[in-house]
Amino acid sequence: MLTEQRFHEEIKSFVERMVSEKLNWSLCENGKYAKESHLEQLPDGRIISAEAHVIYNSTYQVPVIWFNYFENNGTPLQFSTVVRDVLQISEEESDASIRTRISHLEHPFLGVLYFNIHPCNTSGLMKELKTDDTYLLPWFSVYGPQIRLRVPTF
Amino acid sequence: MLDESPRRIYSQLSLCDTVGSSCRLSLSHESFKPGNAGFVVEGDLILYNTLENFKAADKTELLINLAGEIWSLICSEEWLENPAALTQFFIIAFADLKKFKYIYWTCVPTFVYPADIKQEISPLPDSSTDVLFSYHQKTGAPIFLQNSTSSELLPISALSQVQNPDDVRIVVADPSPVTSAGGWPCRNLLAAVAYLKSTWQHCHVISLRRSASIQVKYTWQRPNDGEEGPKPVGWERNAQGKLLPYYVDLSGQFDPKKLMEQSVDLNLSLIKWRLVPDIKLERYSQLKVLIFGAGTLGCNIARTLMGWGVRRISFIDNSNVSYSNPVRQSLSEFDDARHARGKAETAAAALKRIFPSIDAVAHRLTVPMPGHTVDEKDEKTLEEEVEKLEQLVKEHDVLFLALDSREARWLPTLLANKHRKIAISVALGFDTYVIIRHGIGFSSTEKKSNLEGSSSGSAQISANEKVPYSQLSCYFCSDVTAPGNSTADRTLDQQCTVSRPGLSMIASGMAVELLSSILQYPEPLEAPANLGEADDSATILGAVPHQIRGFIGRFQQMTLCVRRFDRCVACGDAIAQEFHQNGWKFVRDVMNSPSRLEEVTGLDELQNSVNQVDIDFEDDDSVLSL
Repeated sequence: MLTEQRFHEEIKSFVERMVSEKLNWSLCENGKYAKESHLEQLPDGRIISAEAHVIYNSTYQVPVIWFNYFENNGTPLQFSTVVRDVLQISEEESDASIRTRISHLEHPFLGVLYFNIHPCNTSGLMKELKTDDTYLLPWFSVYGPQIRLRVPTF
Repeated sequence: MLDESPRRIYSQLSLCDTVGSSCRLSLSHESFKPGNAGFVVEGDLILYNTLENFKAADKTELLINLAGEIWSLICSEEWLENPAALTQFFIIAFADLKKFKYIYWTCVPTFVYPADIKQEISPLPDSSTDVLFSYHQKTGAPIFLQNSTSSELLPISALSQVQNPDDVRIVVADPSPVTSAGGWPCRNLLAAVAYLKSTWQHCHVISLRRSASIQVKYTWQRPNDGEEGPKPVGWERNAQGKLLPYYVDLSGQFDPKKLMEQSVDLNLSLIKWRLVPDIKLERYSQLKVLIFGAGTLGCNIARTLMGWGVRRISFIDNSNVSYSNPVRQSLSEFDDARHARGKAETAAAALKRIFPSIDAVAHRLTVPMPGHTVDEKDEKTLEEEVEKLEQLVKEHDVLFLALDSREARWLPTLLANKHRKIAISVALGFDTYVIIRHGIGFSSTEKKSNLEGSSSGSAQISANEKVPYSQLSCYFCSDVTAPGNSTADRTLDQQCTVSRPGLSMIASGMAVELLSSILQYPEPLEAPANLGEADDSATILGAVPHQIRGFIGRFQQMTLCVRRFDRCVACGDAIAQEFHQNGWKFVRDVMNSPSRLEEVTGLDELQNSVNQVDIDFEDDDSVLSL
C-alpha cells in the first residue's frame, strides 16, 4: 500500500531517476502523474507513438500504469492491434497473461479511453517484494516490462 | 462565427526516439498550457470554422508570414538571445465534431539557405554527451556552444564573438531519430549561422540526443550578398509523400455509439479470454432473432439476448401497451401506456435507446390462431398475414414463442418446422414455467430414415440415449386434441396472464441461456438432447436439454426430453403436407374449425379408438395456455 502523499513525493524522484537514465519521463498536471513517451516500430513497419502514465489509484491505494498507442496522425490503435502487434501477446497464452488484466477505461485526467493494467493484484505482489525505502521503482520494475517499457538497472 | 484567430500551443519534443525517419512533434491536451517540463517548441493552432475556410486558406502566404518572422529574427540577430524561436510551427485544422472527422496540416518553416549544404558525420559516444545533457536540462537552452579546446559550455549568444568556425561546436537539441543526418532544427540554425557569419563556409554542430548523438561538420557555398529573404519550405508531406493535409477519422474513439459497441464487444470478449476460450461469439453477433410477443417474456428475452451481443431482434405483436404492463414489461414505461403505443414498437424503440447500434424492428401483426374464426371479407388480410409471417420466419435464424395463448403458437410452430428454424417456446403458469426447444424440421435427406428410426426407437429408452434435434417434440406434440380458442367463454381475470412477477425474468433468462448453449454446439441445428440427466459436456457452455420445467412453489427445476409425435397437430408430417399444398387456405380452415387438424393428422381416429375413455391430458398444459 502506498499513501497518496507518499506517491506524490516519490513520483518526483522517480521521474528524476528516469531522466538521469536518459528515459523520456516527465511530470504532468503539476506533478499529479508521470508520463513517458517514445516511438516504436510495429512488425509491419509502421511507426507508432507509445505513451505510458503512472497514476495513483486511491481505491486500491497503489500506482497504476495507464497506456496508449497512437499512429502518427493521432489515431489510437485498436485493442486487438495493441495485444497482437505491440504487446505481442499470443492468443494461446495462459490466463496469467496480462491480456486478461488489461482494461480499456476513461483516463482519470484526460477523460479519453486509455488502457490500464488492473490494480487488483498490485498490493499483494508488492508485499512480497518488501519495499522499505522506495515503492515506485520496484513497482515499476514489475509493471513497466509488462508493456515493454525500459526499466533502469538498479 | 467562432474565433478563427491562432491559438498558441506548446509541443514537447523528445530526444529519446530511435525509430522512424522523422522528428516527432507531439501534441496533447497539455499543449495549450505553457510551462511544460522538458524541451518545448512553440507554435500556433489555427482552427477553421468550416472545411471551406480550411481549403480556402492561402497556404503559401501562411508559410511566408511565419518564415518572414523567423528570417527577421535571423537578420536582427535576436535569435542569439532566443534560439528557441528558430524552430516554430503552426497547424491549420478543421474539426467536424459531429462526425468526429478531422483534417489538419502542419507547417514547420525552414529555409533553403545557404546553398549546397553537405554534411560529414561522426558518431559521439554517449559518455561524452552527459555533460551536454546536464547543461541542456539545467538551462533549457535548445542551442548552445561548446568551446572546442576548453570544452567550456556557453550560451549561443557568445557566437557573435567567435571568429574561427573551428573554435566552437554548436550543440543543438535534436529530436530526430535518424543517425545519418542532422534533424529539422539544424536547418534554421545553419541558415542563421551562415547569415551571421557571412565569411564562414563551414561549422561544427553536435546533434544532441539521449542515445546516438552525432557530430556533423556542415559545409556550404557562400550565399550571394544582397539576396532577399531566402525561399521558405515547411508543409508536412502526408503518408504518401505528397504535400497534402492529413485526414483523421476518430469516430471509433469518440462517437459514443461506437464506444458503446466496443465496450459491449470487449465485455463479451472477457468471457472468451477469461473463461471459455473456444466460445464462438460471432454466433450471437450475427444471429437474427424473431420474438413472437413483446410482453413480459418478449421484453426480457430481448434484453438478455442483447447481453449476449445479439444485434438483430424483431418483435411481432398486435397489441398496445396498457397501464398494467410497464411494471412487468421491462421495455415499456408509463408514457407508452398513456399514449397506447404498440407493444412491438415500444419494445424495439426501447432497445434502440438502450443500445443505439442494435437493429431492432417492430412488426404489428396478428398471428392467425385456430378457433379464432375469420370472416370471408377478411380473407385477403389473412392471406397477407400468413405470407408476411412466413417471410419473417424465413429471414430469421431463431424464433422465440413468447405469446400469451396456446393457440397463437400453432402457426409459428408450423412455420419454424417447415423452414428448419430453431424455435423456443416459453410459457408461464402462476408459479411454473416451461421452456421447450422444438424439434428442428427434417431436412429433405434425413426425412425418411429418421421417421423409420423413430417408430422403432421409441419403444426402448435408455438413460444416456441422445435424441437427435429433429426427433424432439414441439410445444404441441403431447396433445391429443387440437388447440382451440382458449379465451372464449373466459372472464377477464381468466384471460390475463397471472403469474408470479419474477417468473418471467427467470424463464426468459433460462430460454436465452438454452439458446446460448445450443449455438455453441458444433452444428447447432443438430444439437441432440439427452433422454436422461442433462449432459453438461454437450457443449462448451454445458447441456442442451430439450425442456426445462420450473416450479417456483418449491424453487425446483427439472429437465425433460420428449420425442416428437408423428401425428402432432403442429409439427406432424400430415400438417406440413397440408400446409405445403393449401397454404393460407389451410390456415383459414383451421381457424374456422380446429377439428380440421384432428382430421388431417388422424387424431380423430385415435380419439375414436379410445372411445368413451376420458383422456386426462396434462393439467400443467391447460394452465400454461393462459
